[in-house]
Amino acid sequence: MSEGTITAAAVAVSHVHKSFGHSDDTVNVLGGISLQVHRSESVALLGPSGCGKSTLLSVVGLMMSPDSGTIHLDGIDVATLSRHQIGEFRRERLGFIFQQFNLVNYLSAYDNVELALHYSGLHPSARVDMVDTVLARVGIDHRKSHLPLEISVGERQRVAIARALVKNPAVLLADEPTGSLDRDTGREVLALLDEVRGTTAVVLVTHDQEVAEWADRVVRFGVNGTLET
Amino acid sequence: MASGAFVGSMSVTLIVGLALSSSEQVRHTLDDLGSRLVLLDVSVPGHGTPPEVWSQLAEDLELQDVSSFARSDYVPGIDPADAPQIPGGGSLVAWDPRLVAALGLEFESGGTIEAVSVELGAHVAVVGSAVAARLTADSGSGLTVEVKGRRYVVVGVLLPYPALPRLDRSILIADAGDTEALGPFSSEGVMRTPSAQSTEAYVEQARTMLRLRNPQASVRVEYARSLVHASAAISPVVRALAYGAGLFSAVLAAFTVLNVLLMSVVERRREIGLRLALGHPRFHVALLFLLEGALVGLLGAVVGTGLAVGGVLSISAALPNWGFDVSVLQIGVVITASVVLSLLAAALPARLAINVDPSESLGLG
Repeated sequence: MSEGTITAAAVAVSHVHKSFGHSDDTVNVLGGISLQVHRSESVALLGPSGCGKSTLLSVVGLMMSPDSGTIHLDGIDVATLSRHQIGEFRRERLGFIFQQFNLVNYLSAYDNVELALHYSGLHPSARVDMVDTVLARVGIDHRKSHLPLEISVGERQRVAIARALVKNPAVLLADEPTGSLDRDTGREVLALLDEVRGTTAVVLVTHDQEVAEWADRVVRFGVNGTLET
Repeated sequence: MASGAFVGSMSVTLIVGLALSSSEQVRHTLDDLGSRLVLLDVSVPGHGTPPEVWSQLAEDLELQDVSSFARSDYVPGIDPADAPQIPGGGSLVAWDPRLVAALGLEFESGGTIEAVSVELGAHVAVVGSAVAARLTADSGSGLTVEVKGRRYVVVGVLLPYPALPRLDRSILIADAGDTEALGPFSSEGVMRTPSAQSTEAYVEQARTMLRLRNPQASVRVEYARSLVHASAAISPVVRALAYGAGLFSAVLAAFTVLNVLLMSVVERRREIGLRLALGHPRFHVALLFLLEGALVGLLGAVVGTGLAVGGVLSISAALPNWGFDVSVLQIGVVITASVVLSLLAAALPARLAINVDPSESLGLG
């Protein structure tokens, strides 16, 4: 994998533009955004729905290409990565938490977490240990054989967090992680994220001021897909 | 989910299996019959051949299936206007009750002459299928045919008999007085031998015996080649129909697999996006659908083949003389073809799956 330009930041986004639609009907979602998140830092992207924060998360998560600008993740210029290497990078260094959890309904909680370790090259016994450890860490090990529809909404998000954390990612990307939860459960989820604070770079998207305040730094989205300073 | 594929695969096996085994059986039966059925045409200048000649021949040869078949292709003295308008001309045949058994004749309607003639007390005849097609029913008496000014009530219509097409164009008359009035008839005999291998020996014996009885007779021997020709003509047709129907079923099954997997891609769009987001290789995501397609094809073929073979065996048990046969090779080909077709059908859904946009399917952006 090409190392490209080495930077100190876990996430370094520079002058990123992204627009949707065709020439007559173009919507500029990201208007030249620059952002750096250090390796032990948590940053909340705050803004109303539709302001482009989730799009920025997709771009940083290598699920969407920017129209222009550069992105460095964990010191690597992602523009230099092939399609196969991008998949490998996501598998090894990125963790995702989604608002809708995105668990596979026909897999148990254990299997959902283990899904993140597929193709990791780890020995099966090591994978078992890692999954059991992380399930215990998020307090859901007693539900590991249950299907997603058999556990509560809060427990589902715990499983999703366990899936994101099981491979100790360099960068954790969370899209409205408390958006589908009541306030108390949301706080429990944030408490779980506290465990990686200081060791993992966290980029958290939210429109909730209270959630945003959990992060070390809050970045607000302004008009035309820009960030307020 | 895989019911469509099951049905498709089953149809492939059933149709191909049954049709091919039927085709083989029909061909075998016709070939055998064609080699065992012999026509002996004895012609004696100025004389007919009395029917008892054939009875005597049957006795001498110890054959049951010998009967006098016909008398003349074109009966002298019959005004063409009296004969039915049949392409290629018609024949009058002196009825021999043994014809039914010897030739295995079957009736499209009605029955044998002797069964009804006494009851009716009328002039009766059995007609071939081509003759019947040219006749129109009279109100009250049904089908009738007029020969030499005498009206005959048709008491039976024969099914088409491919071995002797001229029988289809014949009017078979039983009444002795009639046949004398219409004669003289030059006789033709039908002999069915016990086996194809013994036919030549029987023919030689028959030829010798007929000449012993009348040294002036010339004996012409004709095998029922038309049966063999018919067999040769039928076989490729049945085979083509079988493969055509099988191919249709296979294409139907492939479309079913395609449809099932397309639905699966749509339903599992979020899961596909998640797998891609987690960094699962695209080839492995494609493999999920290719394997699912192959599995559906394999299960469909195994279950379908099982049902089809069961069906063939059941029919075989019900029709022991027919001898249906489904070979292991045939089953192997059907199962392999089903898996290959399913894999091909799965290629498009697999391609769609690896092109799923993870951010869109996961509700990002």
